[in-house]
Amino acid sequence: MANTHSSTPGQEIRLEKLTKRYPNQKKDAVKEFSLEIPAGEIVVFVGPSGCGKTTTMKMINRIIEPTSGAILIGGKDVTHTPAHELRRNIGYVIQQIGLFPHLTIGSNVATVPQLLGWDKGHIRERVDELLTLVGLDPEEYRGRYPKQLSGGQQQRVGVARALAADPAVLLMDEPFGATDPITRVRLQKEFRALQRELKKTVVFVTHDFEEALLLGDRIAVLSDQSHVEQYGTPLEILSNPATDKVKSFVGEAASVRMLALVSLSAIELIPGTKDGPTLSEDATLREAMEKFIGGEKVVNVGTKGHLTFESLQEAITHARSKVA
Amino acid sequence: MVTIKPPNLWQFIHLQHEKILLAVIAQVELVLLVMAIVTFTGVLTGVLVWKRATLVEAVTGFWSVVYTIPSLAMLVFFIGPFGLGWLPATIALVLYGQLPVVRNTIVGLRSVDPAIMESASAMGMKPFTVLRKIQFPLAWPVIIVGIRVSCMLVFGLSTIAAYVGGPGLGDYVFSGLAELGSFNSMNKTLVGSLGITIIALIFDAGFVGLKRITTAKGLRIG
Repeated sequence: MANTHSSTPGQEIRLEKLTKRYPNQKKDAVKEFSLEIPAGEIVVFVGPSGCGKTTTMKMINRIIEPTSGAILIGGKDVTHTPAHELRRNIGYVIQQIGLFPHLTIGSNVATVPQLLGWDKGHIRERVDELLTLVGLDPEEYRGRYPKQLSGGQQQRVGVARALAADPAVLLMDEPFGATDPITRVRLQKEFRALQRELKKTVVFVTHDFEEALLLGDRIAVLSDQSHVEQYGTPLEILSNPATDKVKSFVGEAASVRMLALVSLSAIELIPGTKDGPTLSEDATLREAMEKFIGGEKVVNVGTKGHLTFESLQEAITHARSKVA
Repeated sequence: MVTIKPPNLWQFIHLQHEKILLAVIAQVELVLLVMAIVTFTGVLTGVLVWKRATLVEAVTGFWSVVYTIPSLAMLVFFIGPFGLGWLPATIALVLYGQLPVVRNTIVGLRSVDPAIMESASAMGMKPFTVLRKIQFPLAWPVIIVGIRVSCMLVFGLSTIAAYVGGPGLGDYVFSGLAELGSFNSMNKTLVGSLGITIIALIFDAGFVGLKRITTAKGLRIG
């Protein structure tokens, strides 16, 4: 993925007692939801379907108008600014993608810059830059129509469109949920890499806890009426679930999942390298485990040293005991 | 005694070509006028009501009832307030033509994927911009089919509108039928009915082309 020459960094989002009540309903859909989302982080709202996580997210750009409460972005109260102005500074990606089928890929990506009245040359440049950023060759894809792209490619365009006017905030509602598992993992990894560069403030909604672990800098585990059961880093939530609801959501496989969160740089290695595959220090215990499951006897970690299956087991036990 | 052979259809057309041409022009003018009014009012009605279920029901219900009024009855009824000629014919045809356009506009606007509409709003488009740039172009292929159906309907009924002095080829059909058995009755009826059929078919073909041209390319590809 290419470098962006300039990118607006994320802004902090503060949600204060956000409440949504639909007419003719006894219960609030979202009840007094308060959360601070630090600038430049990915915060994942995760919870069972119907818990109000999507409603909560959609109140941030006021696609759903809150009944009461306040939304502050970058310290500024935006609860009552004109919705269309607010939304032009917030990228939006949804599971159904929602590309405009009658417009070319180029025009789709150009939507917000056009609304903001950028000049044509600037827009064209920006479109090409973004398509390159999400891994689509502008020459090839700019003039195509959404129907001519695969689901995975369409969602790349969806992400490019959301980033077009370089917003500080990105809202994503199960954006990779409709793609096949292989494409999903690839998109997740690409998005993580992209975010490392862009440092937007991202609110990401999913019901898939695995996805929350993979992408979130922080995770908010939500239950009915968008009640915050726990808000913390993935490791905090895995190692120290705050309530029974969190525990049941984290599930039995927590310790196995944790392997994906500990990098090889954090464990003790046997000095020297041996004959066998090499992983980088950024790779996780899980990746090393997969090598052994695949029949390898030795896995080298960079040039620093190597692991055997026994030494990996020891490291895992050690990591577990630290967490427990 | 000299027997005069009645002219055959070609001879009749040849003899009367100037009069027939004027009737054809009047016929086309009437349909174009009616369709311009129907398209504008019908699409506008659809755009104004599509969002509200109760209004949709009221409006389509109303035009469905109008649609079922026998055409001759309505035309004769309009002679009272509007007299004879273009005016009662135009008004009656405009009323009959509404239903397909209003209904298809509503159906078209409602069939646009809510996720697409939501995306458009979330990009920061104002409601009217969403309608103009996204929803309407996506609904257009359905709307234009409504206009086409309405146009064919208006062609059919415009024949009957000749009964109240409406312009066009309908007059040939009626006077032909009224003089049945006389010298040129068959020729007149044929000129009227075939003429209208041919013009209607040309219009219908025109709509096929118009639909292609006016539908966004991204929607036409498969």
